[in-house]
Amino acid sequence: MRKLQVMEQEYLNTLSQAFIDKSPGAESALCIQCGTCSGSCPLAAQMDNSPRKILALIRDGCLEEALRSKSIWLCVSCNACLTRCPRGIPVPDIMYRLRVLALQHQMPVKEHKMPDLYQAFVRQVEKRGRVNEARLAVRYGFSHPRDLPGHLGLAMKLLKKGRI
Amino acid sequence: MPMEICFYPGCSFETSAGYSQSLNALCAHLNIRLNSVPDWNCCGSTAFFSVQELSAYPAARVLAFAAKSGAASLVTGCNGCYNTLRKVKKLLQENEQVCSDIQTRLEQEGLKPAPPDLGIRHLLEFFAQDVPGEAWIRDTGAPKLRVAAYSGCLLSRPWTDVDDPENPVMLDRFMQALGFTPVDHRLKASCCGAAHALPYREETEALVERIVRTMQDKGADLAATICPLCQLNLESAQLGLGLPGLPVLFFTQLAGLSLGLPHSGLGLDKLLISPEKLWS
Repeated sequence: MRKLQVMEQEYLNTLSQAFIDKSPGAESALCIQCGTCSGSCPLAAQMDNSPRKILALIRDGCLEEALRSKSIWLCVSCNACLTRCPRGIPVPDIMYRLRVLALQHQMPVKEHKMPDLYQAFVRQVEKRGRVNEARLAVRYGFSHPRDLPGHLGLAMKLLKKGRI
Repeated sequence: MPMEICFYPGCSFETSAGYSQSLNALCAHLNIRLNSVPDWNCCGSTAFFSVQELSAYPAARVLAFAAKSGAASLVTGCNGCYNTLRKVKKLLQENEQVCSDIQTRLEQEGLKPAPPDLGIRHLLEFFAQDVPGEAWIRDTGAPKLRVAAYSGCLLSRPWTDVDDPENPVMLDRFMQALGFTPVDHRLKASCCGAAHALPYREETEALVERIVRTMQDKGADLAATICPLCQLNLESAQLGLGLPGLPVLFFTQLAGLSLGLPHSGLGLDKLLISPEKLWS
Protein backbone atom coordinates (compact mmCIF):
# COMPACT_ATOMS: atom_id res chain seq x y z
CA MET A 1 0.00 0.00 0.00
CA ARG A 2 1.08 3.57 -0.74
CA LYS A 3 2.82 5.33 2.13
CA LEU A 4 0.57 8.03 3.51
CA GLN A 5 1.58 11.51 4.54
CA VAL A 6 0.77 12.53 8.11
CA MET A 7 -1.93 14.92 6.99
CA GLU A 8 -3.49 12.26 4.79
CA GLN A 9 -3.53 9.77 7.64
CA GLU A 10 -5.27 12.30 9.84
CA TYR A 11 -7.80 12.97 7.13
CA LEU A 12 -8.43 9.26 6.69
CA ASN A 13 -8.93 8.81 10.43
CA THR A 14 -11.54 11.56 10.41
CA LEU A 15 -13.23 10.07 7.37
CA SER A 16 -13.22 6.63 8.95
CA GLN A 17 -14.71 7.93 12.19
CA ALA A 18 -17.39 9.90 10.30
CA PHE A 19 -18.27 6.74 8.41
CA ILE A 20 -18.94 4.68 11.55
CA ASP A 21 -20.68 7.54 13.34
CA LYS A 22 -23.54 7.61 10.87
CA SER A 23 -25.99 5.06 9.43
CA PRO A 24 -25.51 2.81 7.45
CA GLY A 25 -21.78 2.67 8.42
CA ALA A 26 -22.70 2.72 12.11
CA GLU A 27 -24.47 -0.62 11.78
CA SER A 28 -21.11 -2.30 11.11
CA ALA A 29 -20.67 -2.19 14.89
CA LEU A 30 -23.42 -4.81 15.16
CA CYS A 31 -21.46 -7.34 13.07
CA ILE A 32 -20.57 -10.61 14.81
CA GLN A 33 -18.36 -11.77 11.89
CA CYS A 34 -20.45 -14.90 11.31
CA GLY A 35 -19.83 -14.71 7.54
CA THR A 36 -23.45 -15.29 6.50
CA CYS A 37 -23.12 -12.31 4.12
CA SER A 38 -20.07 -13.79 2.38
CA GLY A 39 -21.70 -17.22 2.21
CA SER A 40 -24.83 -15.68 0.61
CA CYS A 41 -23.04 -13.41 -1.86
CA PRO A 42 -23.26 -14.62 -5.50
CA LEU A 43 -19.98 -12.92 -6.44
CA ALA A 44 -17.98 -13.35 -3.22
CA ALA A 45 -15.61 -15.75 -5.01
CA GLN A 46 -14.55 -12.93 -7.36
CA MET A 47 -13.94 -10.44 -4.55
CA ASP A 48 -10.64 -9.34 -3.04
CA ASN A 49 -12.24 -8.64 0.35
CA SER A 50 -15.42 -10.57 1.17
CA PRO A 51 -18.44 -8.68 2.54
CA ARG A 52 -17.60 -9.99 6.03
CA LYS A 53 -14.08 -8.62 5.74
CA ILE A 54 -15.32 -5.26 4.45
CA LEU A 55 -17.40 -4.93 7.63
CA ALA A 56 -14.36 -5.84 9.73
CA LEU A 57 -12.20 -3.26 7.92
CA ILE A 58 -14.75 -0.51 8.54
CA ARG A 59 -15.06 -1.41 12.18
CA ASP A 60 -11.31 -1.55 12.68
CA GLY A 61 -10.79 1.88 11.16
CA CYS A 62 -9.20 0.59 7.94
CA LEU A 63 -11.59 2.52 5.72
CA GLU A 64 -9.01 3.13 2.99
CA GLU A 65 -8.60 -0.57 2.27
CA ALA A 66 -12.37 -0.95 2.09
CA LEU A 67 -12.63 1.98 -0.31
CA ARG A 68 -9.93 0.58 -2.60
CA SER A 69 -11.55 -2.87 -2.73
CA LYS A 70 -12.85 -4.32 -5.96
CA SER A 71 -15.55 -5.92 -3.79
CA ILE A 72 -17.54 -2.77 -3.20
CA TRP A 73 -18.13 -2.56 -6.96
CA LEU A 74 -18.95 -6.24 -7.34
CA CYS A 75 -21.99 -6.11 -5.05
CA VAL A 76 -24.97 -6.87 -7.32
CA SER A 77 -27.55 -5.56 -4.81
CA CYS A 78 -29.31 -8.94 -4.70
CA ASN A 79 -30.06 -8.27 -1.00
CA ALA A 80 -29.36 -11.89 0.00
CA CYS A 81 -26.91 -10.79 2.74
CA LEU A 82 -29.30 -8.15 4.04
CA THR A 83 -32.19 -10.60 4.30
CA ARG A 84 -30.12 -13.30 5.99
CA CYS A 85 -27.93 -11.21 8.32
CA PRO A 86 -28.77 -12.22 11.90
CA ARG A 87 -27.96 -8.67 13.01
CA GLY A 88 -29.96 -6.91 10.29
CA ILE A 89 -26.97 -5.01 8.90
CA PRO A 90 -27.83 -3.18 5.64
CA VAL A 91 -24.74 -4.43 3.78
CA PRO A 92 -25.86 -3.19 0.31
CA ASP A 93 -26.42 0.33 1.71
CA ILE A 94 -22.94 0.22 3.23
CA MET A 95 -21.57 -0.77 -0.20
CA TYR A 96 -23.41 2.17 -1.85
CA ARG A 97 -22.01 4.56 0.74
CA LEU A 98 -18.47 3.21 0.20
CA ARG A 99 -18.86 3.62 -3.58
CA VAL A 100 -19.93 7.24 -3.25
CA LEU A 101 -16.98 7.96 -0.96
CA ALA A 102 -14.54 6.12 -3.23
CA LEU A 103 -15.72 8.17 -6.20
CA GLN A 104 -15.51 11.41 -4.24
CA HIS A 105 -11.87 10.60 -3.49
CA GLN A 106 -11.14 9.34 -7.00
CA MET A 107 -10.11 5.94 -5.71
CA PRO A 108 -11.61 3.50 -8.20
CA VAL A 109 -9.12 2.17 -10.73
CA LYS A 110 -9.74 1.05 -14.30
CA GLU A 111 -10.12 -2.64 -13.38
CA HIS A 112 -13.13 -1.85 -11.21
CA LYS A 113 -15.32 -1.40 -14.32
CA MET A 114 -18.67 -0.74 -12.61
CA PRO A 115 -17.92 2.93 -11.74
CA ASP A 116 -17.78 3.73 -15.46
CA LEU A 117 -21.04 1.87 -16.12
CA TYR A 118 -22.85 3.55 -13.22
CA GLN A 119 -21.55 7.01 -14.13
CA ALA A 120 -22.53 6.55 -17.78
CA PHE A 121 -25.98 5.41 -16.59
CA VAL A 122 -26.47 8.44 -14.34
CA ARG A 123 -25.26 10.87 -17.02
CA GLN A 124 -27.70 9.38 -19.52
CA VAL A 125 -30.65 9.65 -17.12
CA GLU A 126 -29.73 13.23 -16.21
CA LYS A 127 -29.57 14.12 -19.89
CA ARG A 128 -32.46 12.11 -21.34
CA GLY A 129 -34.60 11.09 -18.38
CA ARG A 130 -34.52 7.45 -19.38
CA VAL A 131 -31.94 4.79 -20.16
CA ASN A 132 -31.34 3.25 -23.55
CA GLU A 133 -29.49 0.01 -22.85
CA ALA A 134 -27.76 -0.26 -26.23
CA ARG A 135 -26.53 3.32 -26.02
CA LEU A 136 -25.35 2.65 -22.47
CA ALA A 137 -23.44 -0.47 -23.54
CA VAL A 138 -21.69 1.46 -26.33
CA ARG A 139 -20.86 4.32 -23.95
CA TYR A 140 -19.37 1.82 -21.49
CA GLY A 141 -17.47 0.19 -24.35
CA PHE A 142 -15.58 3.43 -25.07
CA SER A 143 -13.83 3.10 -21.71
CA HIS A 144 -13.59 -0.71 -21.69
CA PRO A 145 -13.23 -1.81 -25.34
CA ARG A 146 -11.91 -5.23 -24.34
CA ASP A 147 -15.26 -6.14 -22.78
CA LEU A 148 -17.17 -5.58 -26.01
CA PRO A 149 -16.20 -8.49 -28.33
CA GLY A 150 -17.74 -10.97 -25.87
CA HIS A 151 -21.10 -9.25 -26.34
CA LEU A 152 -21.02 -8.68 -30.11
CA GLY A 153 -22.76 -11.94 -30.98
CA LEU A 154 -25.55 -11.17 -28.55
CA ALA A 155 -25.86 -7.60 -29.82
CA MET A 156 -26.30 -8.85 -33.40
CA LYS A 157 -28.96 -11.34 -32.31
CA LEU A 158 -30.87 -8.71 -30.32
CA LEU A 159 -30.66 -6.31 -33.25
CA LYS A 160 -32.09 -8.96 -35.56
CA LYS A 161 -35.00 -9.50 -33.15
CA GLY A 162 -35.72 -5.77 -33.00
CA ARG A 163 -34.77 -5.66 -29.33
CA ILE A 164 -32.21 -2.88 -29.73
CA MET B 1 -66.10 -1.02 -16.95
CA PRO B 2 -62.45 -1.90 -17.50
CA MET B 3 -60.11 -2.44 -14.55
CA GLU B 4 -57.53 0.34 -14.55
CA ILE B 5 -53.97 0.31 -13.33
CA CYS B 6 -51.39 3.05 -13.03
CA PHE B 7 -48.46 1.43 -14.82
CA TYR B 8 -44.77 2.29 -14.59
CA PRO B 9 -43.09 0.58 -17.57
CA GLY B 10 -39.45 1.35 -16.71
CA CYS B 11 -36.70 1.78 -19.30
CA SER B 12 -36.32 -1.90 -20.28
CA PHE B 13 -39.98 -2.70 -20.86
CA GLU B 14 -40.34 -1.84 -24.55
CA THR B 15 -37.18 -3.60 -25.73
CA SER B 16 -37.81 -6.76 -23.70
CA ALA B 17 -38.57 -10.00 -25.51
CA GLY B 18 -42.32 -9.72 -25.99
CA TYR B 19 -43.13 -8.29 -22.56
CA SER B 20 -45.04 -5.29 -23.90
CA GLN B 21 -46.71 -7.27 -26.71
CA SER B 22 -47.93 -10.00 -24.38
CA LEU B 23 -49.03 -7.56 -21.67
CA ASN B 24 -51.04 -5.53 -24.18
CA ALA B 25 -52.67 -8.69 -25.56
CA LEU B 26 -53.50 -9.86 -22.06
CA CYS B 27 -54.96 -6.52 -21.02
CA ALA B 28 -57.08 -6.29 -24.17
CA HIS B 29 -58.46 -9.79 -23.51
CA LEU B 30 -59.17 -9.19 -19.80
CA ASN B 31 -60.48 -5.64 -20.28
CA ILE B 32 -57.74 -3.97 -18.28
CA ARG B 33 -56.63 -0.44 -19.09
CA LEU B 34 -52.95 0.39 -18.54
CA ASN B 35 -52.46 4.06 -17.72
CA SER B 36 -48.74 4.80 -17.93
CA VAL B 37 -47.35 7.24 -15.35
CA PRO B 38 -47.31 10.58 -17.22
CA ASP B 39 -43.88 11.87 -18.30
CA TRP B 40 -42.17 9.00 -16.47
CA ASN B 41 -38.42 8.90 -16.04
CA CYS B 42 -35.89 6.21 -15.07
CA CYS B 43 -36.26 5.16 -11.41
CA GLY B 44 -32.51 5.64 -10.92
CA SER B 45 -31.80 1.99 -10.24
CA THR B 46 -28.73 0.96 -8.25
CA ALA B 47 -26.58 3.27 -10.39
CA PHE B 48 -27.81 6.42 -8.66
CA PHE B 49 -27.29 5.00 -5.16
CA SER B 50 -23.75 4.08 -6.21
CA VAL B 51 -22.77 7.50 -7.52
CA GLN B 52 -24.65 10.05 -5.41
CA GLU B 53 -25.47 9.85 -1.72
CA LEU B 54 -29.16 9.18 -0.97
CA SER B 55 -30.15 9.98 -4.52
CA ALA B 56 -33.89 9.57 -4.25
CA TYR B 57 -35.02 12.16 -6.74
CA PRO B 58 -35.68 10.07 -9.89
CA ALA B 59 -37.86 7.56 -8.03
CA ALA B 60 -39.54 10.27 -5.93
CA ARG B 61 -40.51 12.04 -9.16
CA VAL B 62 -42.12 8.87 -10.53
CA LEU B 63 -44.06 8.35 -7.31
CA ALA B 64 -45.18 12.00 -7.31
CA PHE B 65 -46.54 11.73 -10.86
CA ALA B 66 -48.33 8.48 -10.01
CA ALA B 67 -49.96 10.09 -6.96
CA LYS B 68 -50.91 13.17 -8.98
CA SER B 69 -52.78 10.97 -11.45
CA GLY B 70 -55.06 9.95 -8.58
CA ALA B 71 -53.99 6.29 -8.47
CA ALA B 72 -54.05 4.45 -5.15
CA SER B 73 -51.13 2.31 -6.23
CA LEU B 74 -48.55 2.05 -8.96
CA VAL B 75 -47.75 -1.20 -10.74
CA THR B 76 -44.43 -2.08 -12.38
CA GLY B 77 -43.24 -5.16 -14.24
CA CYS B 78 -39.54 -4.81 -13.42
CA ASN B 79 -37.90 -6.12 -10.25
CA GLY B 80 -35.28 -3.37 -10.33
CA CYS B 81 -37.85 -0.58 -10.58
CA TYR B 82 -40.02 -2.27 -7.97
CA ASN B 83 -37.13 -2.41 -5.52
CA THR B 84 -35.90 1.12 -6.17
CA LEU B 85 -39.37 2.65 -5.84
CA ARG B 86 -40.05 0.83 -2.57
CA LYS B 87 -36.59 1.65 -1.23
CA VAL B 88 -37.01 5.35 -1.98
CA LYS B 89 -40.52 5.42 -0.53
CA LYS B 90 -39.10 3.99 2.71
CA LEU B 91 -36.19 6.44 2.66
CA LEU B 92 -38.56 9.39 2.30
CA GLN B 93 -40.61 8.16 5.24
CA GLU B 94 -37.58 7.67 7.48
CA ASN B 95 -35.25 10.52 6.56
CA GLU B 96 -36.68 14.00 7.08
CA GLN B 97 -33.69 15.76 5.54
CA VAL B 98 -33.93 13.80 2.27
CA CYS B 99 -37.68 14.25 2.30
CA SER B 100 -37.53 18.03 2.60
CA ASP B 101 -34.81 18.32 -0.10
CA ILE B 102 -36.92 16.20 -2.44
CA GLN B 103 -40.02 18.24 -1.64
CA THR B 104 -38.23 21.46 -2.65
CA ARG B 105 -37.10 19.94 -5.95
CA LEU B 106 -40.52 18.51 -6.73
CA GLU B 107 -42.23 21.82 -5.99
CA GLN B 108 -40.07 23.47 -8.65
CA GLU B 109 -41.82 21.15 -11.08
CA GLY B 110 -45.24 21.85 -9.60
CA LEU B 111 -45.36 18.41 -7.95
CA LYS B 112 -46.02 17.25 -4.42
CA PRO B 113 -44.33 14.24 -2.77
CA ALA B 114 -46.47 11.10 -2.99
CA PRO B 115 -48.50 10.32 0.15
CA PRO B 116 -47.09 7.47 2.27
CA ASP B 117 -50.06 5.25 1.51
CA LEU B 118 -49.37 5.11 -2.25
CA GLY B 119 -49.03 1.40 -2.98
CA ILE B 120 -46.15 -0.01 -5.04
CA ARG B 121 -46.91 -3.36 -6.57
CA HIS B 122 -45.35 -5.81 -8.99
CA LEU B 123 -47.26 -6.73 -12.13
CA LEU B 124 -47.20 -10.36 -10.96
CA GLU B 125 -48.99 -9.39 -7.74
CA PHE B 126 -51.62 -7.60 -9.78
CA PHE B 127 -52.35 -10.55 -12.07
CA ALA B 128 -52.04 -13.23 -9.37
CA GLN B 129 -54.04 -11.40 -6.70
CA ASP B 130 -56.24 -8.62 -8.14
CA VAL B 131 -57.49 -10.19 -11.33
CA PRO B 132 -60.33 -12.53 -10.29
CA GLY B 133 -59.47 -16.22 -10.54
CA GLU B 134 -62.45 -16.80 -12.88
CA ALA B 135 -60.66 -14.76 -15.55
CA TRP B 136 -58.14 -17.53 -16.12
CA ILE B 137 -60.08 -19.92 -18.33
CA ARG B 138 -57.59 -22.30 -19.86
CA ASP B 139 -57.95 -22.86 -23.56
CA THR B 140 -58.43 -26.53 -24.40
CA GLY B 141 -55.64 -26.31 -26.96
CA ALA B 142 -53.15 -24.64 -24.60
CA PRO B 143 -49.82 -26.46 -24.44
CA LYS B 144 -49.02 -28.60 -21.42
CA LEU B 145 -45.76 -27.28 -20.02
CA ARG B 146 -43.51 -27.91 -17.04
CA VAL B 147 -42.50 -24.45 -15.89
CA ALA B 148 -39.54 -23.49 -13.70
CA ALA B 149 -40.57 -20.27 -11.97
CA TYR B 150 -37.83 -17.70 -11.55
CA SER B 151 -38.75 -14.64 -9.47
CA GLY B 152 -35.22 -13.28 -9.12
CA CYS B 153 -33.93 -11.29 -6.18
CA LEU B 154 -35.86 -8.12 -5.71
CA LEU B 155 -39.53 -9.10 -5.61
CA SER B 156 -39.09 -10.61 -2.16
CA ARG B 157 -35.77 -9.22 -0.95
CA PRO B 158 -35.61 -7.39 1.33
CA TRP B 159 -39.42 -7.13 1.21
CA THR B 160 -40.37 -10.39 2.87
CA ASP B 161 -44.01 -9.21 2.97
CA VAL B 162 -44.78 -10.03 -0.66
CA ASP B 163 -43.24 -13.47 -1.08
CA ASP B 164 -40.72 -15.72 0.63
CA PRO B 165 -37.18 -14.31 0.22
CA GLU B 166 -35.54 -17.74 -0.09
CA ASN B 167 -38.21 -19.79 -1.79
CA PRO B 168 -40.78 -17.54 -3.46
CA VAL B 169 -44.04 -19.26 -4.42
CA MET B 170 -46.32 -16.61 -5.93
CA LEU B 171 -45.15 -17.27 -9.49
CA ASP B 172 -45.42 -21.07 -9.06
CA ARG B 173 -48.99 -20.72 -7.80
CA PHE B 174 -49.90 -18.40 -10.65
CA MET B 175 -48.46 -20.88 -13.17
CA GLN B 176 -50.52 -23.60 -11.52
CA ALA B 177 -53.67 -21.44 -11.74
CA LEU B 178 -52.95 -21.11 -15.47
CA GLY B 179 -52.90 -24.89 -15.80
CA PHE B 180 -49.15 -25.34 -16.16
CA THR B 181 -47.07 -27.70 -14.02
CA PRO B 182 -44.63 -25.82 -11.78
CA VAL B 183 -41.28 -27.56 -11.35
CA ASP B 184 -39.89 -27.28 -7.83
CA HIS B 185 -36.31 -26.05 -7.67
CA ARG B 186 -34.10 -24.20 -5.21
CA LEU B 187 -32.85 -21.27 -7.28
CA LYS B 188 -36.03 -19.25 -7.83
CA ALA B 189 -34.52 -16.24 -6.06
CA SER B 190 -30.88 -16.85 -6.96
CA CYS B 191 -29.13 -13.85 -8.55
CA CYS B 192 -28.82 -13.68 -12.37
CA GLY B 193 -25.98 -11.14 -12.23
CA ALA B 194 -28.09 -8.09 -13.12
CA ALA B 195 -26.19 -5.22 -14.76
CA HIS B 196 -22.86 -6.82 -13.88
CA ALA B 197 -23.45 -9.10 -16.89
CA LEU B 198 -22.04 -6.38 -19.15
CA PRO B 199 -18.61 -5.86 -17.53
CA TYR B 200 -18.38 -9.29 -15.87
CA ARG B 201 -19.75 -11.60 -18.54
CA GLU B 202 -17.92 -14.80 -17.55
CA GLU B 203 -18.57 -14.41 -13.84
CA THR B 204 -22.30 -13.85 -14.31
CA GLU B 205 -22.59 -16.62 -16.93
CA ALA B 206 -21.53 -19.01 -14.18
CA LEU B 207 -24.49 -17.84 -12.07
CA VAL B 208 -26.93 -18.41 -14.93
CA GLU B 209 -25.40 -21.77 -15.79
CA ARG B 210 -26.13 -23.03 -12.27
CA ILE B 211 -29.72 -21.76 -12.45
CA VAL B 212 -30.49 -23.14 -15.93
CA ARG B 213 -28.85 -26.52 -15.27
CA THR B 214 -30.85 -26.89 -12.06
CA MET B 215 -34.08 -26.12 -13.91
CA GLN B 216 -33.22 -28.64 -16.62
CA ASP B 217 -32.24 -31.30 -14.09
CA LYS B 218 -35.67 -30.89 -12.51
CA GLY B 219 -37.31 -31.52 -15.86
CA ALA B 220 -38.43 -28.02 -16.79
CA ASP B 221 -39.52 -27.30 -20.38
CA LEU B 222 -38.98 -23.59 -19.91
CA ALA B 223 -38.38 -20.85 -17.35
CA ALA B 224 -40.89 -18.16 -16.41
CA THR B 225 -39.57 -14.69 -15.48
CA ILE B 226 -41.07 -11.48 -14.12
CA CYS B 227 -38.24 -9.01 -14.84
CA PRO B 228 -36.70 -7.72 -18.09
CA LEU B 229 -33.11 -8.00 -16.86
CA CYS B 230 -33.61 -11.50 -15.44
CA GLN B 231 -35.11 -12.58 -18.76
CA LEU B 232 -32.25 -11.10 -20.79
CA ASN B 233 -29.54 -12.58 -18.57
CA LEU B 234 -31.09 -16.03 -18.28
CA GLU B 235 -31.60 -16.19 -22.02
CA SER B 236 -28.44 -14.54 -23.35
CA ALA B 237 -25.94 -16.29 -21.07
CA GLN B 238 -27.11 -19.66 -22.42
CA LEU B 239 -25.91 -18.71 -25.91
CA GLY B 240 -22.31 -18.66 -24.75
CA LEU B 241 -22.58 -21.77 -22.61
CA GLY B 242 -23.61 -24.35 -25.17
CA LEU B 243 -26.47 -25.60 -22.99
CA PRO B 244 -29.44 -27.34 -24.66
CA GLY B 245 -31.38 -24.07 -24.79
CA LEU B 246 -34.07 -23.60 -22.16
CA PRO B 247 -36.61 -21.05 -23.42
CA VAL B 248 -37.11 -18.14 -20.99
CA LEU B 249 -40.57 -16.55 -21.22
CA PHE B 250 -42.27 -13.69 -19.42
CA PHE B 251 -45.15 -14.78 -17.18
CA THR B 252 -47.43 -12.60 -19.31
CA GLN B 253 -46.56 -14.66 -22.40
CA LEU B 254 -47.43 -17.85 -20.52
CA ALA B 255 -50.72 -16.33 -19.35
CA GLY B 256 -51.51 -15.53 -22.99
CA LEU B 257 -50.70 -19.12 -24.04
CA SER B 258 -52.96 -20.49 -21.31
CA LEU B 259 -55.87 -18.29 -22.39
CA GLY B 260 -55.39 -19.38 -26.00
CA LEU B 261 -54.53 -15.90 -27.32
CA PRO B 262 -53.00 -15.87 -30.82
CA HIS B 263 -49.30 -16.68 -30.56
CA SER B 264 -48.47 -13.93 -33.02
CA GLY B 265 -49.63 -11.31 -30.50
CA LEU B 266 -47.47 -12.55 -27.63
CA GLY B 267 -44.08 -11.47 -28.97
CA LEU B 268 -42.76 -15.05 -28.91
CA ASP B 269 -40.74 -14.32 -32.06
CA LYS B 270 -38.64 -11.88 -30.01
CA LEU B 271 -37.19 -14.66 -27.87
CA LEU B 272 -33.63 -15.78 -28.67
CA ILE B 273 -34.45 -19.38 -27.70
CA SER B 274 -37.68 -20.30 -29.42
CA PRO B 275 -40.28 -22.19 -27.37
CA GLU B 276 -42.19 -23.32 -30.53
CA LYS B 277 -40.70 -26.83 -30.42
CA LEU B 278 -42.59 -27.40 -27.15
CA TRP B 279 -46.00 -27.41 -28.85
CA SER B 280 -45.44 -28.03 -32.55
